[in-house]
Amino acid sequence: MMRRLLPWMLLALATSCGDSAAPLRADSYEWRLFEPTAEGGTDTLAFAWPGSSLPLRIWAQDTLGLPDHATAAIQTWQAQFLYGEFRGEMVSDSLDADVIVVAGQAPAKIRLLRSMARECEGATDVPLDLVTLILTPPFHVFIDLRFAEGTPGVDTCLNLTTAHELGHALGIFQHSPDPDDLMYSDPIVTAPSARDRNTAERAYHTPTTIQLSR
Amino acid sequence: MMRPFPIACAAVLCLGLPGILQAQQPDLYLQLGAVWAAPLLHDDIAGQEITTQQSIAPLIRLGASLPVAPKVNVGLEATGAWGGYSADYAGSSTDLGNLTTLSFLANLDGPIVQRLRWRGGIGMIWTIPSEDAGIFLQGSSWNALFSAGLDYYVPFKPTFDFMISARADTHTLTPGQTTLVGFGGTQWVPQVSLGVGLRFRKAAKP
Repeated sequence: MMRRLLPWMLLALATSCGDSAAPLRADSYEWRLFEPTAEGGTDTLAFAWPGSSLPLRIWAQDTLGLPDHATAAIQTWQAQFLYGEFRGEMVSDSLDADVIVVAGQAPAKIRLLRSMARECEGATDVPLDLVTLILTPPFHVFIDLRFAEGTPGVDTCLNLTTAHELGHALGIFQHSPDPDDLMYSDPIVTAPSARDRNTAERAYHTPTTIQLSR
Repeated sequence: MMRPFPIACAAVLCLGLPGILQAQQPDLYLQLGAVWAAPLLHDDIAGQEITTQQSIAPLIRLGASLPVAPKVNVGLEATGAWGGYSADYAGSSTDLGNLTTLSFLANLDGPIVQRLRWRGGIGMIWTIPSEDAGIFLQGSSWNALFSAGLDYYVPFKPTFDFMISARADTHTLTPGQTTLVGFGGTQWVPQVSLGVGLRFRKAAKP
């Protein structure tokens, strides 16, 4: 009887190959910059850190608990990716950093993305040359308090704002229009949403137009 | 995260083996070999195809079987394999670390011709990543395993045989993180393995 069963067992094994259905990830928001061109058109600017440049090196000023917030932000974004598209690490020397996180108000610059949470605010300076489309790190992230340190909610605000600004340094160069997303301009939520995750994944699997120069 | 059912299965297998050994003095076998697995996962993000693939992995296999009918043996088997895995997309490969798989099977086997025997089994496979990240962000994964194969024996000494095995297995794979991000259905992962080793037996057999 077993001899008769064996071919059927082998057939069952051979035909049991099947794939699970991949999610569509349609629910995302625009992350690219659109710059007007001299010809009257629009240039799409997309950036993602290439795999060869990882892990992303991040330095944080030792104040307001920024090193801890930056470490948490790295873990937060790493967890959004399925295939190792982003990895980050803290470095002890700012000279070696791709992203520098400091406390204080951001200077007024052209390529600056600002966020205003309730108790604190952040800004990220994107080191992009719009003529050559070459990005030359480091990014500078500025985190500033709107209330005194120790005020309820400030620590949470520093945490989510650092994660928000690191999202910009990853290549999400626009804000989400949805307040449920971490990348909303005035972030409230403490973790990336499914829409943030979808957007980050799309950013790392879409052709880029900005070159990296280290 | 370990779940009650897989723990129970593993316990039955672990506790059952010593019982069989004591009761019937079964044949024992030890093998070394290698296993190749089909992709663990296929994905498509913004039109870019992504394949998560295990490398060919060395394996070690321990098993025991004893006769329960004139031409049928029943047995238990444990296999461990260690290898890397990677994600391939856009013409490049990203190393995702290592995967250890531990599989536990309840087998039936019987003769086909002379020294050639068939084998079929069901059990569980435990997939353990070196790092809780990516598709394994929520840790290891227990899944169902189905196996079929052929064993060929070459007598060596009165109580030893050389043993060559070819197996075609398939297992499900449902890491928690893939479900969380919206993957649907069940991923089936076929794998093929070759093993060589020794069988230790108490009586002369084909």
